[in-house]
Amino acid sequence: MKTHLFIPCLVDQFLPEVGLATADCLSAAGCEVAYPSKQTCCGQMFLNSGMPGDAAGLARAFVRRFADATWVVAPSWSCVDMVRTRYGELLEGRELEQWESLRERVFELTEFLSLKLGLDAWQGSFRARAILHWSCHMPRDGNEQDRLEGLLGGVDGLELLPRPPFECCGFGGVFWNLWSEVSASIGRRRLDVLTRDGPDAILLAEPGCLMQMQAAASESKSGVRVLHVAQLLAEAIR
Amino acid sequence: MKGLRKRAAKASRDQVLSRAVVKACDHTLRKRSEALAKLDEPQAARTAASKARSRGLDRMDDLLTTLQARLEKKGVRVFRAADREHAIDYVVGLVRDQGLSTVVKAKSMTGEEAGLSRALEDAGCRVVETDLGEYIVQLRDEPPSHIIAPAIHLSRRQVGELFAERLGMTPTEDPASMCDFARKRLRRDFLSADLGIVGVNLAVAGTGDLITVTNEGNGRLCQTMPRVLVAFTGIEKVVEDAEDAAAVLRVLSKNGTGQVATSYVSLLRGPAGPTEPFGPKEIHLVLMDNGRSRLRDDPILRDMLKCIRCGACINCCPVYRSIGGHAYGTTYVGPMGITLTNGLAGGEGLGGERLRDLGELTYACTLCGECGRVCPVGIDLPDMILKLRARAPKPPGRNLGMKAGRVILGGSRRFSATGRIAGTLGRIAPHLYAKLARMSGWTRSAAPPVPSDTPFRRQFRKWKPFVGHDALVRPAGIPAALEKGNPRDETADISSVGPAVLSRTDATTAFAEKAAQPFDAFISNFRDVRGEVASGTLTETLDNLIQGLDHPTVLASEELLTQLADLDCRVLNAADPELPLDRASQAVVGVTGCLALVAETGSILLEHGPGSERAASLLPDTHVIAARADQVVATMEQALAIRNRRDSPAATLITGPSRTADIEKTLIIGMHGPRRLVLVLL
Repeated sequence: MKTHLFIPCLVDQFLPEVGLATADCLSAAGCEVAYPSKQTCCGQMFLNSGMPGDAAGLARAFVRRFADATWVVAPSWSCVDMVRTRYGELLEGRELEQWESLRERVFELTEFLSLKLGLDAWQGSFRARAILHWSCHMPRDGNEQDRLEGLLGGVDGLELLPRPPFECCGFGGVFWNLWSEVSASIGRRRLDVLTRDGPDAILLAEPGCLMQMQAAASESKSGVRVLHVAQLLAEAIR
Repeated sequence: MKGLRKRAAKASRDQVLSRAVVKACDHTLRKRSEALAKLDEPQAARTAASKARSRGLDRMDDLLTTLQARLEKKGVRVFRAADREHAIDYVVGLVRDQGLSTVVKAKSMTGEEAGLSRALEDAGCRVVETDLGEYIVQLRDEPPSHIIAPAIHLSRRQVGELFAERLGMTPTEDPASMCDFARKRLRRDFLSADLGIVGVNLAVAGTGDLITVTNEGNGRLCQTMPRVLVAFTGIEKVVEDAEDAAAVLRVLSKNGTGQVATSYVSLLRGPAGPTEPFGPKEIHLVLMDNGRSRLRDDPILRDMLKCIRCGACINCCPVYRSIGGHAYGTTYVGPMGITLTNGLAGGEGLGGERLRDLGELTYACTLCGECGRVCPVGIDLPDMILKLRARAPKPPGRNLGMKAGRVILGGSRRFSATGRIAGTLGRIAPHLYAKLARMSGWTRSAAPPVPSDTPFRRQFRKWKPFVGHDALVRPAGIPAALEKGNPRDETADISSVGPAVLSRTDATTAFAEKAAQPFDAFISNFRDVRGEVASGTLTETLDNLIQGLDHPTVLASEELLTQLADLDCRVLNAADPELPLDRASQAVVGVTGCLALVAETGSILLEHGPGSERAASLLPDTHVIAARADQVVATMEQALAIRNRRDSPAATLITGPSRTADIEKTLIIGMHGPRRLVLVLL
C-alpha cells in the first residue's frame, strides 16, 4: 500500500529523526513510503495567528500537492486536525472539492497503523518505564487512549505509567512564539507532573509538544528521555 | 499590549502564586468531575442548560419587559442602565437621596465590571465586601483574581498575616479560626448596615424571581438585614421560566465549585411585607447593559451572553494557572475573560480601566481547547478566540515577521534555504541567532531551536525502506480495516451541545425517573452536604441542642410555637412584627418548617413571606427544620413549581449549613449563616 508522508515544517527542520522514524514505522508495517518534496507547512500557525488568508494559501498548496495521494500520513495530530477540520472554511472551488475527498485520507501515524492497517499491537522491544503525554489535538475519548496504549502494549519491556491528568504542555505554537516565558513556565509545570513517578521516557505524538518537553527536560537536567511515539516504535523493532 | 505580556511573564515567575492557583484549581476540577459523575445524563444536562440560556437570549427584549412588569407590580424598582456610568449614578444617587452610609455587599462580578464599590466609597459610603474571598482582597486593596474564588492566589499564611496586620487578629495559619474571626466582625456590619447589594445569577421572567447562588450566607444576610436592597446584574441573566432556571442551576454549582448544589439559592421577587420583622422594605434592580446589546449582534461573540460565570474554563486554562488573575488586568479572566473583555465594552469601561490592546489578550491562550470542553453551556471558546485573533489588528512588526514567514513557506526551496542559513547562524553565533529570532518576531524564547544541518527532506533522499522485521507485514496485503472507517469529526465534542439531544422535558423525566426512591435519595444527599437528621421529636431535638446552655433563646416560626411550649428556654416568635433585632440575634437555635425536600440535591425549600422565618433560618448558629416525609419531591423543577404556586416575596433552597472554601479551598462549615442544619421528621 502506498503512503505519502506529510512531514510538518517543525519536523523537517528541527526534528528530522521523527520524520525518519515515521517512514520506518510505515515501511515496517508493509507500506510503500513516498515523500512529496515540495510540501512545506499546513498553515496552522497562520490560522492561529489570526491570518486566515495566509493560511488559505498554504492550504491550497497542500491540497494540490497531496490530491493524488492514496493515503497521507503525518506524525502530528494538530497538523492532521488542521487539514481535516479547518480547511473547509479556508478553501473554495476546485480545491474545496479536492479537499472533501482528501480529508478522508489524511491520518496521524499511530491512527493509521491501528485503524487503517489493523495493527492492534506493535512488536519488538524497548525497555523503559514511560508516560504518555496526551496532547491537546489528540482525540479525547477513552477509546482513542485505549487504542494507542494497546498499540504500545505490544512492545516488550515497555511499562506504561498510569495516565496523568490532562493538561496542555504550554507550547501552543504561536503562544510559544509570543508568550515564550509563560509558555516555558507551563512546560516546567507539565514536566513536573509527568516525571512525578520517575519515568525513563516521556512519549508524545505531537512535534510542538515534543520540542516543548525536550526544552523543559534539558533545562531541568532530569535525564528523562522525551520521544515521539514514532521514535519508540521504530527503535523497538530496530 | 506590552504591559499585558510583561505582567504575565512576571507573574509566571512567581512560584508561590502559581502553586496556590494550580492547587486550588485542581481541587475544584476534581470536585467538578465527582459532582458531574452523579448526574445520570451529564450531556443531557449540558444541552438543557445551553438551550435554556439560548432561549433567554433569543427573546431577551421581551423577557426583560415581562420581568420588569412583574417585578414592578410587586413593588421592586427596576432601572435599565445603558452603561456602567448610568448604573453607578443610579446607585450613588440612591445612597445620596436616602442618606445611606453603610453598605454590605455580596459578590457581584457585574458590580466589579462597573466599579460599583469604588464609586460608593468615593460617594462617602463605607462598603464592606462580605464574601470571605472578597473581604480578603478588599483588605489587600486588590481586585478579585478569579470570578468564583476571589482570593485563590493567596496561601493561608498570607491570609493569616493579613488578618493579623489589618484586623489585629492573633497570627494563625488555621483557616477555621480566620473564618470565625471574620464571621464575628462581619456579623456586626450585617446587623447595622442600611444598604445591601447582591448580584443575580438568573432573573426568571416567567415568575419574577431574582435568583442568587451563594454558599456563605452573606448574600442572604445582605438581602435580609438592611432596609434597602440593590440587586445589581447584567441584562443577559434573564431566562424564560423556572424550568430553564432549574436547568441552569443543575449545572452551575457542579461546574463552578464542584458542589451538587450550593448552600443557598435565594429566590426574591419583592420587598418584605409590612408586618415582617426582617427583610428589605425597598428593592432596586439594576439591569446593566454596558455593551451586552452590542455583543448580541456580534457574529463571533454572541454566545458569550450564554455564559453563566461558573469559572470552569478558568480553572482548566493552562495560562491562567501559570499567571493567576491579576496579570490580565481585566475584571473577567481566563478564557471567558479574553472573549468577554473583547466583546463587552469594545476596549473601554471594564472596571473603569481602559485596555491598551485587546488584540494581545487573545494571545493569552495556547488554543488547547480545554475551555470549550468543560463549558457547561457549550460555548466554543477556542473558536471564538481564534476568530478574534483574525479580527483584531496586529502590531505592525509582528505582521511583517509573519508575512515574511508566509513567503518563506510559500516554496520548498525558499524554505530549505532559509533553514540552512538559520541553522548555520544558530550553530556559529547562537546569541545573534536568538536576538534575530526575537527581532523577527518569530520567538521570544531565550534559546530558540536551531534547524538541523540535515533536515528531513535531505535525509529522506538516503532513506531505505525498512527490512528485517517482516512480522509486522500483513500477509493478506490490505487489511479489512481499510474498507471501513471515516476520520472522526474532531469538532463533535463541542458542537454536539448545539443540536437537540434531549428535549428539556426528556431531561427532566430522566432525573425524575432516577428518583424511584425519592425519600431515601433525599436523606442520602442531605447527609452528603452535612445535613443532620434528628432521631427524636422536635421537642427532644431542641432539648438536646439547648442542654447546658445559659439562658438560651430559640427563634421559631409562628406555626411551630405551640409545639415548643414545653421547652425550658425563651422562645421568640420569628414572625413578631415588633421583634427587636438585638434579641433575635441572640438566638442560638432557629426553628422553621419548609415547603419541600428535594431528592435530587438534598435541598430544602423554605418560603419567606408574612409570618416567615427569614431570620430564624439565618441568624442562629443552628437551624432546625421540621418536615414531613411526604414533602419530598424528586427534582429541582418540581421544587420551583411548588415555589411558583405561592406568592411569597422570597424563598430559599437550602442545601446544608453555610460554608466557605475561600482560603486555600479548605472547606469550613459555618461561615456567615448557620453552622448546623438539623432536620426533624414529624
